[in-house]
Amino acid sequence: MIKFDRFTLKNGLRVIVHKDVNTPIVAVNIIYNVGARDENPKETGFAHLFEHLMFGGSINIPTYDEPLQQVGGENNAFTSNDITNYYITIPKENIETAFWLESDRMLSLAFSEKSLEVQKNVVIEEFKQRYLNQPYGDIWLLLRPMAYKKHSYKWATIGKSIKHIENANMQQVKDFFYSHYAPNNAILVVAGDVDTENIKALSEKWFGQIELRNVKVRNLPKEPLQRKERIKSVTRNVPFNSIIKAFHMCNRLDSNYYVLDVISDLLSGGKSSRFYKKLVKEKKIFSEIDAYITGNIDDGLFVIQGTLYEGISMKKAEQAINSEIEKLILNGASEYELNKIKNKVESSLAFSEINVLNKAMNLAFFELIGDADLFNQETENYAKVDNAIIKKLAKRYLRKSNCSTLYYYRKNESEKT
Amino acid sequence: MPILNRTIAPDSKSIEKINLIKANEIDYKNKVKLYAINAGEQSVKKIDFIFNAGTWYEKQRLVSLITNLMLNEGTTTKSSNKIADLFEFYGATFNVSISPDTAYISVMFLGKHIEKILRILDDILRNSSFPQNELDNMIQNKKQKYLLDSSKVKVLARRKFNEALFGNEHPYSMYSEYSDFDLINTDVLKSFYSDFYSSSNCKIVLSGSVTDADIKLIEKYFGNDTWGSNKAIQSIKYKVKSSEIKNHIIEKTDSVQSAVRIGTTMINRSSTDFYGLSILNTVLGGYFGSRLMANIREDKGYTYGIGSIAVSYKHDGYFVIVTEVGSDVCQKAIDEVYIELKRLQDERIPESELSLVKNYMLGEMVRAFDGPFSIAESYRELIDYDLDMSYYQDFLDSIKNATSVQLQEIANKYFSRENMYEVIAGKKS
Repeated sequence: MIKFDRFTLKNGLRVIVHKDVNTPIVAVNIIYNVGARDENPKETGFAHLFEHLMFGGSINIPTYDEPLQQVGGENNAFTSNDITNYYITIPKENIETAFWLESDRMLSLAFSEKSLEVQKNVVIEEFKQRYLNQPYGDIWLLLRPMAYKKHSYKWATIGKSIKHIENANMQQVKDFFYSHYAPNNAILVVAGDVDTENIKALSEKWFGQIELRNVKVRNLPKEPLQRKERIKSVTRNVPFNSIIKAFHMCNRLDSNYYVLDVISDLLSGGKSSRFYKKLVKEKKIFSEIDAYITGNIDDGLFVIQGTLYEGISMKKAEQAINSEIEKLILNGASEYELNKIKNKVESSLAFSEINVLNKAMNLAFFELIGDADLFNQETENYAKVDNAIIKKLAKRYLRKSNCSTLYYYRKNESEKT
Repeated sequence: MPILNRTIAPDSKSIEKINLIKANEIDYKNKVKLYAINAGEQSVKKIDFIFNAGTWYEKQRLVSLITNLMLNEGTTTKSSNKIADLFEFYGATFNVSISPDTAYISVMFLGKHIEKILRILDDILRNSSFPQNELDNMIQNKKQKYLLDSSKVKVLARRKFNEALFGNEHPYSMYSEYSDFDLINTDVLKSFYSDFYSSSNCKIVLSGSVTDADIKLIEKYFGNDTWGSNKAIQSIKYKVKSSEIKNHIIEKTDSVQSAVRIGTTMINRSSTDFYGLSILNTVLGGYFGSRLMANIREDKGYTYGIGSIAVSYKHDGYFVIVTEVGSDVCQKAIDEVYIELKRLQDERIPESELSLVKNYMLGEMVRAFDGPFSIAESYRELIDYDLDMSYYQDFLDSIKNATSVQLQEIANKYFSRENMYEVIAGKKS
């Protein structure tokens, strides 16, 4: 159970304070309610590029990192299709430096042309390093537009193509900042050996004068129901064939979310899972196989992704996956499996409470999707999952007509094998 | 409300003292040593077993690695599946790993399950049976992983670099070939297990909110009778045979980026220069604001990331700069690396930069001693080198007292270009 205090400034900035006296470190986390899903389809990758620009100096402070490192702080950030999250860990004595830096870049950026040019190059190199120059690196670039036809999850956070990043200009940067970066579109979480009154005073002092902004209203189309199986084959210079199946699922706040997460765990959570025991060890069909949910805020995906052992045909691999799904639909989980999952949920929650940064990030995320206290209800939500609902939802979601399948062949492999 | 002057940083304090929490050290009669780190209030505990059982001790390639990976793949009483079922039923995470010197087993679990977890670990440490069918599975899987890794430029560069520095006969090269996997059999694994996973070669770190009852339990399971062969471990000596060729290129023509490694063999923690080297390394490539990042990423945009690291093993060490850069700018990036190395030799680090790095490193030290599991991690480093806690106190002092004159001397002593090996995997521009 994570206790916290919560207050809102006049400009709409929500602040959450969690006290943990056992650490000399304070975590300061700011989540902005903007992600790749909010991008213009012709300017994809922008939310992430923008995250890089947030480190290129703000209106009153020429560099972001130096003053933070000067007081023993460390920071980073990440962007997803849903959100952009910035975080700092800092010795508790120097917490005001974090307020100073974060508030100034919320107030306004320096909008330096040099920073834009350099960060475009850095992000292009990131694009190459993570998506183009890795075996199987482009799977998500291929899979998203297969699974999503309307919703903006159809492009990856990094963007549809390098071209979009090359084209970014300063006017777009400014527009993006003023329509998404605002106190009324952000949540600040401070976790560590701190007092709420002190955090209130610091928040007022540093963030209180930033004006409330007209945040662009999000109006994303709902992804229409998929009615027919989608299939695509590609050939790449990789050592082994691979298969990826993506099924549409519910959104993050739907109670079915927990059921599907449990199902993914039954299938591939650890060496005691069904996929590992059956398909990796016993039948030797896959060298690795994973089932996971994307965890998106809007309707997400349930994904099964496997690398085939040498000499195994794509058809056989797919049949093996399908037969495990059928078994699940027919018989559900065993008593042992259900208890195992409950225990695992309990311990993962305990593990996630170990460090303050983790707690701060979780509180921020749950507040963004509705209420920070949802974090405390996670265990209960998982505990409600029973066998009847597992069978029912496996049947509802893990069906052919709801699935996009990507056959990822290595070069010189006949697609007919 | 008064108008804020946002151009001036708020007051800050420099870190004067770090709470270097000491472990409670207990020597059991069977020569097992326990380090108990009692901190925090969490319901979670972690246990690490540490053995001198890395590549340094193997007579045949891959034996230390595969032995380590096979520990939980079956005992005389439990199948591999049963062991996995048990750990995962209790929500525990079981991990094994090796470094060139050391083999580890780490388990994180809810404190209330401690005895159940210790019982499984006890079985694994005493009765691991290396079943043939599990070994066949493992070998098949690792061979495929080896080929997959071989398609990554960063792996190709790392393999070649280690080989160039140490020679492929040296355990620190971690060198292996695809065909080596087929030479592994259960006999060599069992013999390695018996010789090196023995009680006289075992250290345990228990961390979390550790109680006296926990310590008694550890004694009950691991601190009484002996296990394994308990043969004295012979000190083996290996000779470093660095390549005569300094520049190596592994062509991979379809790559859009090249993986680059530049570095050399280097002093390790046992040298008094190592503290200074660590500071110098931080300045050069050890944090986000480092010179390599500032120049090659933040000024020129040649890469998504570049960093350097001073790796310390028990008998030797090495220093390396690592990056992946666009193939079209590869040579330009490499030129800049050498410029930055030279600059550390030719010019003193400005006071403002040195003060920033010192403060950043002190902050890192605070983080390294934040909570029982970070402390356990920091301890593991010490145990590997037979050092004690005074190491971190000395490190702390040397960070505070380091001068730019002293650091320049160290740069001149160790960072000469003619010592550097350069490996590129991908396309050279």
